[in-house]
Amino acid sequence: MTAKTSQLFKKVLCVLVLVFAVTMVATAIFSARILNGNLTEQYETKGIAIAHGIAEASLETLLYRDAASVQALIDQYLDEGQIQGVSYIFVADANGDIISHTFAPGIPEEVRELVISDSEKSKEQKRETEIQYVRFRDGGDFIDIAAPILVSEVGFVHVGMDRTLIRSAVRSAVIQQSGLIGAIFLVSVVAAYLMMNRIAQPLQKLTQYANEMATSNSAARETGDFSAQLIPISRNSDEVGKLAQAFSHMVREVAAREQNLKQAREEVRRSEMHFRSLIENAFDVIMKLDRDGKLSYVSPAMETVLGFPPDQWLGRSILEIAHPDDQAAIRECIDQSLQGKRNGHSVEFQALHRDGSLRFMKGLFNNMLRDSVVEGIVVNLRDLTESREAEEMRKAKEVAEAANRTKSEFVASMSHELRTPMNGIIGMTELTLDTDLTPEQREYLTLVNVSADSLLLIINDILDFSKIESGKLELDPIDFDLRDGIGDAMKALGIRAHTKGLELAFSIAPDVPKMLVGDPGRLRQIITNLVGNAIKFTEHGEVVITVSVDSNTTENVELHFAVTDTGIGIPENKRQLIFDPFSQADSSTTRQYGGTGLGLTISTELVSLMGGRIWVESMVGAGSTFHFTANFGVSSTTSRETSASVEKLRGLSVLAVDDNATNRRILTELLANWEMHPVAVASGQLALVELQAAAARGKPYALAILDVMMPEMDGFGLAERIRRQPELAGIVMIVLSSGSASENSARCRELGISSYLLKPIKQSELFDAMAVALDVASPPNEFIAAASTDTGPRFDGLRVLLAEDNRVNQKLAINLLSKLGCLVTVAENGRQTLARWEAEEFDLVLMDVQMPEMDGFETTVAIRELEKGTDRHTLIIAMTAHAMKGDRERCLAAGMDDYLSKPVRSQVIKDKLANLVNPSGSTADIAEASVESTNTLFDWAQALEGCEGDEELLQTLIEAFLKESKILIPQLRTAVAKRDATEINGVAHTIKGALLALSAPASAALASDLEQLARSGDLTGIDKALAALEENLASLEPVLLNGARASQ
Amino acid sequence: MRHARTITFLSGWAVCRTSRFCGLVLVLTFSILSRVGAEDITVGMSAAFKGPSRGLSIELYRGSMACLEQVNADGGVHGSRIVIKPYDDGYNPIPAIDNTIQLVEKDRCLLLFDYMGSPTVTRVLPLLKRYNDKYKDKDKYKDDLHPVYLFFPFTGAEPQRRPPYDEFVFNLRASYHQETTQLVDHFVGIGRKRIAVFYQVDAYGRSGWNGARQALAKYSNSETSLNESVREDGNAKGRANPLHHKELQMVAEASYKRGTLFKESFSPQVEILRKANPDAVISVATYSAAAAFVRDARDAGWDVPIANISGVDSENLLALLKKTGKASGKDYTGNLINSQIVPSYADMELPAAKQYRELMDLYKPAPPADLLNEPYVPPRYSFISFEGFLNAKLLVEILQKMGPQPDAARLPEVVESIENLDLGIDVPVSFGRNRHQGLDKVYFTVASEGSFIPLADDGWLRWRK
Repeated sequence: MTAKTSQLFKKVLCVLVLVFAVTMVATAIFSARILNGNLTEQYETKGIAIAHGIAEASLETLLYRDAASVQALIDQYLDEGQIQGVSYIFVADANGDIISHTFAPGIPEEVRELVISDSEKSKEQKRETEIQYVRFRDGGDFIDIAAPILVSEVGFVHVGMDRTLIRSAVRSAVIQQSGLIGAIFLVSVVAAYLMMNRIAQPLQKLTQYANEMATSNSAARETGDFSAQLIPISRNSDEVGKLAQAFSHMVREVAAREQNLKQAREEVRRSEMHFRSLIENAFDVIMKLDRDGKLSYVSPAMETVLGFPPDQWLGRSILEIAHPDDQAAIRECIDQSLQGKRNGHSVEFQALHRDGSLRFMKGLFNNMLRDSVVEGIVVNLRDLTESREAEEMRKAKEVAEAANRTKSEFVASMSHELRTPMNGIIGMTELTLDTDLTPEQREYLTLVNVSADSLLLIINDILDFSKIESGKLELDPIDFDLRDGIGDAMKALGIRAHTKGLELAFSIAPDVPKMLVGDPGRLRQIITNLVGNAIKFTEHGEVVITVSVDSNTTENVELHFAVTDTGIGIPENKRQLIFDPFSQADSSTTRQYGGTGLGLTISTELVSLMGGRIWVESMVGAGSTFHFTANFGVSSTTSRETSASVEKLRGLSVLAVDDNATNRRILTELLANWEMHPVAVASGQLALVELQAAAARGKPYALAILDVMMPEMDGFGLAERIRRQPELAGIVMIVLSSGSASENSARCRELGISSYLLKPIKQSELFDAMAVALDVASPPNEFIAAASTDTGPRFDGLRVLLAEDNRVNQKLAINLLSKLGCLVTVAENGRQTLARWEAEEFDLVLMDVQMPEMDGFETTVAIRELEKGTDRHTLIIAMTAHAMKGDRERCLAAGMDDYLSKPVRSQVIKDKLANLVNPSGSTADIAEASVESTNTLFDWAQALEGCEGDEELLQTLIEAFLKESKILIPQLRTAVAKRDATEINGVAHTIKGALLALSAPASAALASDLEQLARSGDLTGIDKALAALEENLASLEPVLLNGARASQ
Repeated sequence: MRHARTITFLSGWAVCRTSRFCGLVLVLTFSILSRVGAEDITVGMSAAFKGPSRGLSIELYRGSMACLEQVNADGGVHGSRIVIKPYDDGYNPIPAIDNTIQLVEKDRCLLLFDYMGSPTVTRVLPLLKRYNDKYKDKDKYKDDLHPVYLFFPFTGAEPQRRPPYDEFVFNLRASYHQETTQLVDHFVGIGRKRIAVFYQVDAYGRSGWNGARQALAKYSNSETSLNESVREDGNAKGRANPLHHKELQMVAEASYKRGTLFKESFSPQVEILRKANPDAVISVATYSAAAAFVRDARDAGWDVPIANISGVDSENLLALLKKTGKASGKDYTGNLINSQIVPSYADMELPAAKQYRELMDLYKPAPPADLLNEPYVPPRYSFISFEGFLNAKLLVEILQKMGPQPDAARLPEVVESIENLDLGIDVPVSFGRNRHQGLDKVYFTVASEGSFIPLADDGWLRWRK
């Protein structure tokens, strides 16, 4: 307890002591007096009663003068515990003799005096009971009651009541009372102390707390730390408790108010800062004008806009900012704003910058309305100088861009204009080369052809580049086989590489999906470009292309292509440069190696379009590796490799012989991929050893793949040695060569080599070659598929309408098509084309897009219009020199089936025709060429492929055919008997179509023969043809049934 | 004790009135009554069997029992054994009253017998009066009432010898009044007129005191020595009693409270009396106080003749003094006179004394063991036990005289008809309608060589003055 509280307590204690002391004394005196009086009175009464009792009772006894009886009488009052306070009794007779008493050891003198005083009483006095206080010398203080016996005639009875008993009773009562009061006092003190504590402590805490609160810094209050626990709250509901509660409530209120106030201040401050920052950071100069047009506020933007410190302008007129010529306009603006008629007056004017330059400003004047009286004007000043300049620059840019566009369009049209004559040059050169020429002429023309090709390449590059420039380079995604695509590209490049004596190899990782979705043409362009460069800059060694998967999902795959050469390399400082347009690593290289230098630029663009990037790693003198990545979709199209063939190849042991390690690796991977057991060796000698060892083990190799170009013992040499060993007789051999097939084919036949493949090999090629060689698939007609440049599908009797206005191109196309066996009709323009088409029936229309009077698109639309409602559909292929993205779409939109890019090359047109006219043999009308190329009775797998793998559908088709043939064959017989050509043609055509659909090419060919005969009108031999067909069908029927059963 | 019994008694009645077992209780009551009548005759005794005066009571009881044992052994009185029912009152009046109520109402004794002590008996008297008053109006009460008579209390006090209580009390012994009167007579006769009295300040002491006082008053105070003594005694007294100047007065008196123990000092009393220079001291006290007084007087070198009365129990007094003397090597037994109300049991010529001694030796009656709180060694013979013996002898005579059907109501008639009955003490015992005290003879003895021996008249001369 602290000084304050104890003071309070001390005061209370003083009061308590005083009160209790006074009370004690007062009550003691009072009680003593009362008690003394009462007891005395009681004793007196008692004594009187006893005295009277004895007086009455002893009367008779005394008269008999029997003192013993009197003694017995008085004794009973003194018997122990009888009557308290009776100290003595004595009886004196009338003579004054004490005849009975209770004194021991003797009668005190005072008693005798009492008796004497009795006798000296008057007669009246003697009749009354007398009370007097007697004190004995030997001790004792008594109330003596003297009662007369028989009006004192007989004597007196004296009863002595002990006053000391009264005193001691009073004393003990007073002591007890004082003790009680003392105890109460102590309890009171304790209670008071506790109460004081209860009151004083909270009060003191409150005081302390109030002091602390008063002296504490505002931070404590603001943090709201005046929580309830710090406040000495009394839980009592007494006044102190209420005070404490009220106090704590007050503290909370104060804290809350301070908090609110602080928050409000903070909000105001924040809001103020918010708006201030808005204003001060505004790009515009914000100013406030008073009614006199004087500036009362200028935002800091003034410094940046006009270069003046804002303060400098305070109190000055806004007009001083403006150019004198524009001051009037501003003044008018101010006046209007002050009138408050309208808000948002704006005026443009020139202001003088501190550096002396003139700035174009726009001022927006808004009045500040308060109680409808305009107090001031807020001016928003914007520097228009830069935006004006920007506007001018934008306009200039637009002009420049327009000029650039024009240029690109010019280039595009120029390239078109270039292509057209190039078409002529190349086409005519090729045609001329097919004619009989003198060796000199042929040499010259060959040079012309090569030059023209180079020129065309350059033109194409430029065209692509211009497309890049004009942003028109786009991809054309389709499903494609990556391995075939790359393989095809490698073929052309392979010749160049082998010419230079370089090894060209490519490897595609097994996890690379077979069928992708992307633009194969553009991918091929990139690879061709990179590989071409690699070949170009490599004198010795090899060029290897690897494809691996960077990342893979079910729908997309990122492939990593790497083209590695062993060429001259690229110095580091040039590595980035080479991707820039028109640049090569060295200007000298341009002279040395030629080229436009656009290839990498185009490639870069294409790679980026494919979602990838391109980069180079190089070491000067050691070679370079060009990397690029590209994203493709993963096609859901099924693989061409049939499971049956794979099944047959599985588990076969293969020996690969190649001196080039890269090739060995690639071959091993490929073969392992098909679950074959490949072993690769580096030379012919090693191959022989291995072959003999295997034969000796009893596990001879089924297949050997031999590289032709090997040191010491070349492929053919090895083949010869193998053939000479009788134990190796059963082995099937495939040779790989970089050289041309024609010169070696004879040798191949001599040595019993099954296939001769040109490097770099395509996977599918190798697969097919192995499958054929091991007689696990239908053997191909031709010995070497890939090398047959001068053999190919023929389109004999294909009726072609050529719509071409250009004479050169006409001739070129006629020649090309005629060579393929087509029947060509020429139309000069669209109108003619339409007329021809209406007059005759054509299998194909080759439509030049750009023709006078009616262009290719219009014509196509008209044809398709006319075809509507009929089952007629004439194939239309566009020929265009545009070769631009969108041409294809436009062509297809017009109703064309495909398009060719000019100049039309014979190979290209051949491919197109093959694709269009005979896609999987479904187009029966123009299948003559393909029909004769087959002699298979029934190809189940192909038939199933035709049904897109649906066996049930195939089954239904077979059943339908067998049913149908039961009707159609008799019909055909009847028609033949009647010599009804039309009927024969119709029925034969129907049968042929059905057979083709069933993939029974031999039968279909026989049906086609009948059809041809009927169509030609020459019905000689028709009976023989019918018989052949009937015989064939008879043998086909069980095969079909078997096939159907087998599948079940 | 008494209260508890009363309550039981009353509550028994309460039960009777309210209960169907009322009849059963009545039957029990009758059976008890018939048993009392037919078999034992019970007499009630209340006396001090504890405390400083217990020797008196015990000796009294033993003496009576010596007689009754013999009587009962001989077949009782009319075939009934006489049984004493003793209670202790500790020489205090209130227990005595309680015991009396118990004996009358509960024990339904035929009569009360051998009560000891003046203060107790004096206080019992009004109770007896009430019982007998009630009996006189017995028609008013349905209760089975009978008169209650107290036979031969061991006290020489006056109240039971005077109206209105003398009617229910029969005394054998002479009164203290008679004893002190004769002592005064003898002292005055040998010239010792200055008599002081030492007494117990109660009815007993007062009886003796009063006897001495009245006896002295018979003599005229013609001698100067007395006057001088009066003068010496104090002016106040002289002034106080101008009328009695011719009569002899006790020169001093000193008192003590009943129950004062032997070990306490009695020097104040000795000083008070010695100051008056008396010729003789008459002591009306019980033996402890009397012995203590003698001790302190003799220790103070005061060899004044001290005369005790019968109530002191001379044998116990002497025993105490001898014991004290043995301890201090001093003889306290000199100048000790003791009045007796029975002849000396040593007088073998008396047939009663002879019989007493024979029976005491024969039976060696034991004190009532259940009432004692400390061991008691009884003297072989004593005046008190001899008195008790005589009391019992007379009681047997009375009951014998009453016939086989003892009836309390017929007791006065039977007792009052006794005239000149020889109890073997050489003095005839007579009762009458107005005489309810059988003997008046006082015998004097003197302590000599360890015992009290009879003091012949000429024997007094040795203290002649």
